[in-house]
Amino acid sequence: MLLKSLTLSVIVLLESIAVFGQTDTAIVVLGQGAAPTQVAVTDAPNDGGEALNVSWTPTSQVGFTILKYQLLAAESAAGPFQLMAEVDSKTSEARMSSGDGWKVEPDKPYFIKVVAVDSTTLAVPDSTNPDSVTVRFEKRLRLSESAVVGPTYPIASWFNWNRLNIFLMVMLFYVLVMVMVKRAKAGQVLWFRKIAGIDAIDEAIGRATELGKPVLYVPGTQNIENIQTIASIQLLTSVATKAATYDIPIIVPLNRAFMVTVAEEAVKQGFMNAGRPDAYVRDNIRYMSDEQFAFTSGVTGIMLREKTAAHFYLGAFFAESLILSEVGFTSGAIQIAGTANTHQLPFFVVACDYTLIGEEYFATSALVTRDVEMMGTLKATDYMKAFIIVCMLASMVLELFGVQFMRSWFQVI
Amino acid sequence: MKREIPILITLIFGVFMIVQFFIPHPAVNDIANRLQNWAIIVIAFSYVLGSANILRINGELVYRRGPGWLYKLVLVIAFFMMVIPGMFLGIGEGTWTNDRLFTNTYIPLASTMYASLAFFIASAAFRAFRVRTWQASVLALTAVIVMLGRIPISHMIWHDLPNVVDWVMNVPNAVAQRGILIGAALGAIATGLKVILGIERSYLGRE
Repeated sequence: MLLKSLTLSVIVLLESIAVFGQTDTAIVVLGQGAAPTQVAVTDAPNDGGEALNVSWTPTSQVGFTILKYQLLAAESAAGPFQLMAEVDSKTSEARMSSGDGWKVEPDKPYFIKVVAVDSTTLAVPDSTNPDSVTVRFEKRLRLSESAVVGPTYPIASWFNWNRLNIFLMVMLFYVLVMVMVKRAKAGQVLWFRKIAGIDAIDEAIGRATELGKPVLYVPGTQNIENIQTIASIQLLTSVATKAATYDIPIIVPLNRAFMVTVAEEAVKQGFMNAGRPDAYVRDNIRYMSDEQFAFTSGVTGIMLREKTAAHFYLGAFFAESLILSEVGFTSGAIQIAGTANTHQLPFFVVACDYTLIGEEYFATSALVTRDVEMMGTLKATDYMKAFIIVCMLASMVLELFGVQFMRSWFQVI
Repeated sequence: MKREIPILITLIFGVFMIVQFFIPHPAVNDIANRLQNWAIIVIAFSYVLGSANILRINGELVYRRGPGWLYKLVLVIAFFMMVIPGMFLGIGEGTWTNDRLFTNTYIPLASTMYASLAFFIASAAFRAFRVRTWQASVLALTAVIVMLGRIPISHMIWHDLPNVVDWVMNVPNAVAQRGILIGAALGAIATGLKVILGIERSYLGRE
């Protein structure tokens, strides 16, 4: 029985090692001297019960050069054991989670053993000459197994305490929003700095009106689940209202099919706000393509063929940002851009007349509509920013004195 | 009720998706995964709407020989050339639709478009680096240093030049970007909260 289990272990280990391709020879021998001791297995906290933490003490015996440790797990003490993780020889703890074809699940028993892998040189009789007494020396991997530990049950947590910092910040922000919305509703005057790009919206639509050419509004290239697209749709209604007021068509090219209905509703709402529902043209909400550069060519084609006079690029943009804004620039249109994608901001800054940078972009809908609830939310954002700046300054001062708790507290896991 | 029910649905699911970020338990995670799958299914159905939109707008223009109708005709033909073989021959690797139409036709066209970006960058940089104000001078000088520091022989110009460029990118540049990111992240959270709490309702369409 013992021989059978040993043979099985060797086969499993051989397969595991072969899979990871880290052998200097395919043949292994079993040893005991280098076996890790004091193996401890505990549930990994703050997860859905899909991992276990394993720690061990390396052998105190001299003469072993450990190459790596392997962690094996089984659902019963008798096995079969499956290789779950491999760590380097300097490590004495590891996290064991689901791997290929083997899943760690909550409330299931797991038996763990840690195997130390080192190499040894063996004297092997020369099989080519049975009569000879000569031997060959071969280098082989030696596996020294710890005792089997278990059963240990992974436990699914109901709260990830590593995210307590984010939870508290979200709660603080929520409270701030509620307080500021209440104050705004009570009639408190909220002050905001002037943003040039917002004033320029009227200027751009005015230019289009003078020229009698359409307005082009690109709400980014992402779907509605992207928060920048949601913010853009809020603005689309406001821009459509202004365009409808001046009786100027607004063309909205779309990169996502799902956006068709959303944009249609937003523009229709804008025309209704302006009291011109009859002027709404459904065909001006155009789905182009999901493909990035097919969409880009389509939009640049609209700019050049329909001679649009005011361009709004508001939303999430990627590599197409510069192509769109440069073609728009050469067409002579007045251009306003806004995005939170920092890598695209320099392109917009260079090619557009006005650019709403990061937070300005999200503030625009509140400042354009002057809706008290939205203004309250915007003020809460300002206070939250002030709180973060204070935290950062405090953290810098504390760091100077060697106190690091704020830095570690703000780390997100 | 036409507006209250959607706002209530947004509130319930919005709060749930925030809460599930803090709860790793499978009971909650399974529901969150299921909801995300629902969203994928809904988005998949929207392609029918998108296709209808393309055909309605462009087909009508072709029918009444409107301005640029020839381009629209090409678009409609290309649309059917992709859809019909795709439905009957499949769209996986090795199929005619994928290999001939997508890999050998569309991808080179898209790459050409992407390559034109280099020329757009050159023309945009030319305008940006015109030294007219002291801010533009600082920008132009920094740009020249960074460009020189990024070329393979930068260390031959001055052995510390790559280090100077690294400092420019990792300190002033990173600081400015992080400042923008913090503001943008708060704006994004605020927008999310506005939608979840029903403060922002424009996505619901007509009042």
